[in-house]
Amino acid sequence: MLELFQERTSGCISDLSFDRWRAHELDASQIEELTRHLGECENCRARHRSLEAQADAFLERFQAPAFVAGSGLWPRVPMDHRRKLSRVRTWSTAVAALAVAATAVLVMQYPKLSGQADSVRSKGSPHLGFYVKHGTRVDLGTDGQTVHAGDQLRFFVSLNQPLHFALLSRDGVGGVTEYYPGTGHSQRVSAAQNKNLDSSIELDGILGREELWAIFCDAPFETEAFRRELAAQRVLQAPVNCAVDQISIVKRPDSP
Amino acid sequence: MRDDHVFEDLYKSYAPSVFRRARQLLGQDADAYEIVQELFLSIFEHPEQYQGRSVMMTFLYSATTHACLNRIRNGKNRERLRHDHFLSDESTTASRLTPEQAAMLHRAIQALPDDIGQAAIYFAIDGMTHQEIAEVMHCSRRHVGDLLARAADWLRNNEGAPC
Repeated sequence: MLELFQERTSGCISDLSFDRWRAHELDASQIEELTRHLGECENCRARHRSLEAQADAFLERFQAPAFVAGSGLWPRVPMDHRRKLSRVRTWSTAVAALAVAATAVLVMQYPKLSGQADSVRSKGSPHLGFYVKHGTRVDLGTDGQTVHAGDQLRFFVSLNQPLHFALLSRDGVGGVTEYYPGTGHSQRVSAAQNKNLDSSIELDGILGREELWAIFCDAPFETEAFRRELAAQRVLQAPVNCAVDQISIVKRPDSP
Repeated sequence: MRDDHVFEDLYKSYAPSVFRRARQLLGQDADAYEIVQELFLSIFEHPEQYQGRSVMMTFLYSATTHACLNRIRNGKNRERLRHDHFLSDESTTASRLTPEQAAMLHRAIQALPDDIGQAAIYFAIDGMTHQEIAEVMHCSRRHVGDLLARAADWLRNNEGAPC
């Protein structure tokens, strides 16, 4: 019984650290340290997955209480914190991707490519992001990202409520491919920030600008109509009760 | 950005952790969600209590622990929150505890002074390091070591005693 209070030396990650990571409270060096440990410790990877699943389940079940806004006091608490969030979020997600790459979690499902843009996204609207793995290096993708054949892309989405989702691509020669989920039917995704999709793609050799279209709808949908519209019109208009997010990548030949 | 959007973002970032820990300590979803509502309403109405002296997560860890300890020690709740519900979540870090350890820990938390009970929870249930506990409790690592030593003393003296 007394061993309960003997200091441990395992170096495993505490729930507090995982919670702070999820809340974007850690700095880059702290995240690197956690990422390194995750790459070596199956117990902590399992615990991480469990905590993420528990958080998703909670948010699906319990929406935020409808407290009345406008007390005038609340912003005093989060304003500094909010600045911290915006500064750290990029690092957090990027290094999370490194953990993914380091632990060989990438699942190759589609023979192809990657990218991101987001200059006018409104806060609260669902959106798409991605990581790009080039050799052993993993970076957070940005709109207009330069990529190369053979690069791997892993996508993540952020949404404030559960939605049905699909991801289509229109490549440099007009070919339209369903990147996710790849079944012809949308996939329900629970509310989450920067939630990694459970598959990745490897870019093919078709060069040029490729556009990625993320479709989020309240209800399940078939992807074929969107695929045809994208092939014919080059753009997608969001139907009623749906939202569309679009990012681009530019595939260039490998430098000699 | 509207205030309620800020609040909603914070709720999504922090409420799952509050709920998980409260459920670990109280054993029931309904009780745990009451803690979530109490804490977030309290912060919403009285943000000055935060004082910016720690990051939000450690502040909420502390507030959650206080709120749960109050419930566990409340006479009306004591009978309802029995050992057999305590640490009932098999997926938690605390699952490394045997049922006997969990029951003993529950007794200790009810009997020990508040600061020792908190340190015991952070260490034995949350799996936190002495350094992390020191940050949450705003004290030194050395003091944390003293608190945990006193918790161990209590266990040593009460192990095997009837419930």
